[in-house]
Amino acid sequence: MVSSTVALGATVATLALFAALGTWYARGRVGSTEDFISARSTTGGGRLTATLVASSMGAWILFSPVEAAAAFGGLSALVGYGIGSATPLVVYAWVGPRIREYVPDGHSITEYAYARYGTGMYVYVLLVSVAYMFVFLAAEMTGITGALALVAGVPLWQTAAVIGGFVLVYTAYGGLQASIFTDTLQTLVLLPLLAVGFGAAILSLGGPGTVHETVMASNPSLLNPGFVPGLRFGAYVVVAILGAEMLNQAWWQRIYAGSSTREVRRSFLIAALAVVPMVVTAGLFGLAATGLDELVTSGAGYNADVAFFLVVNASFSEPVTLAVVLIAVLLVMSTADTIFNAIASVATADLRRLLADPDDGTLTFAARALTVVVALAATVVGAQGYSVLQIFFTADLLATATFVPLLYGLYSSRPSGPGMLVASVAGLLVGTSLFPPASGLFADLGVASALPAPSFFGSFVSALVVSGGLAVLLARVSPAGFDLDRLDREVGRFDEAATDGGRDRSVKTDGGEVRD
Amino acid sequence: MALSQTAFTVFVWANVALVLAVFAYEVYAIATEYRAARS
Repeated sequence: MVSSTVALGATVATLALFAALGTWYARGRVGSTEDFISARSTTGGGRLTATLVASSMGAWILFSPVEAAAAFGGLSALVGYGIGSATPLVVYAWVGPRIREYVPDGHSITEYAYARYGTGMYVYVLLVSVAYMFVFLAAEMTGITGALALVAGVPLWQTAAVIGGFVLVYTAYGGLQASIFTDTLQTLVLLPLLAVGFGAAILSLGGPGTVHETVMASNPSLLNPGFVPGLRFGAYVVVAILGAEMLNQAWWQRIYAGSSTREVRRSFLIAALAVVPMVVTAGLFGLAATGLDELVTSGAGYNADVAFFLVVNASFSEPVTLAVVLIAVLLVMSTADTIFNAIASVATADLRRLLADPDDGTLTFAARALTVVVALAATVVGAQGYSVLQIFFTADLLATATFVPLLYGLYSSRPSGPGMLVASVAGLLVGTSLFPPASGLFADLGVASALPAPSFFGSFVSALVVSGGLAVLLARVSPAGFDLDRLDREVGRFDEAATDGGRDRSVKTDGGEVRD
Repeated sequence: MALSQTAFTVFVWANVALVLAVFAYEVYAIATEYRAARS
């Protein structure tokens, strides 16, 4: 076991290095709120791909895919996890250019929701989007604090405080520009560290052949690519991750940060290809864990959720363990800085409307203050050691029931705000009726016997199908027609004065092209 | 039917190799952008 002093020292050194680099890079580059939250058209394909990879790969890849591989899904669940992680990026490769075309001066998902659907859907999307991002952040902080406690005995609050503090320094100062720069560096360090670290780890376990023999001896179905529970798990993970990530503001920011529409599409597709082997490589630790006596996959003492670190503790030398700690810290940093800035940017974009055209200095100050608030809240939650898995599933379900009605409005003039809100809420209600964590509630209400058996698969798929199907149906019967070109007029840049306090931007002061 | 030992070994090392390939691409792409920006 690595001593807590060494682990914490390595963590602090890594954090301090990236905080210094991020702060250095951002010097002189953040002159306005636009620079702070959008970094518009500044990022070439290589760096954009790197920030997409870094932002999507959090410490969760050391927990969830590993647990799935070790405990209930094996190889097929693991591949499902990989595909699930890649799917939102593939979808954004087509949705991203559409967003840039119709809302070229936008910043956030909620700006679009407000301009396209009005107040009701806007409030709903705001709640779902921020809830999902904050839960994601809290899960990351909880994961890393638990991991360092397990591997090196570092107290939860110490890990949370140093990670929250250092990431806050460069994110509050440099905003999205610092986040994209450090993401690029983190990806360049993380990729070889993951490949070499995993290669060393698998060799120290006796090589793939030994791992194969171990799994065959303990539970051969985990190596069956057609293992039905694994396939079911993989299928619902694809739907859950897709739904959740489509409401992740971090991707909307990066769509605008890309230097061109072509680079945006290409970068999302390359990032999709990149994340599959990363998730699978990390998840293979779950199969390696099946040979450990310490692994408990059911009942009291269940610990498959930390199977990755059981392998680390049982098999690795101190240098390899330290490398794993650094991988985990880099994974958390790259996600935390992204989410700090993403949540701040959503709120900042909305503040502009709520404060009736505030000056740029006020907005930039508000964006930085919001970053501090998000960081403090995430640090406090991360230090508690909560089990966030159930909350994560709830946030995923909310997003799964929302994303089709929300994005449908980018492709058709027919969907209306009230109709899409009804479709989202109906999908959510149906999904909730099959949601295992809600089964107790339905039993208390005496309606559980009238419902199908709860399952995550049924819950997520029904939420998606009902919300999507109803959205199409309601759009067909809707008499309303929305001029999609209005989106460009109603959503504008922060450094561009609006003529009426921000409600209608059909007259632009910078000579910008007006569609009508 | 479970994956054979050889197939599993190939699967494991192919994933590791893919991660390294992504790294090589990233280095190439970022270096190219950097050179283009400097020139």
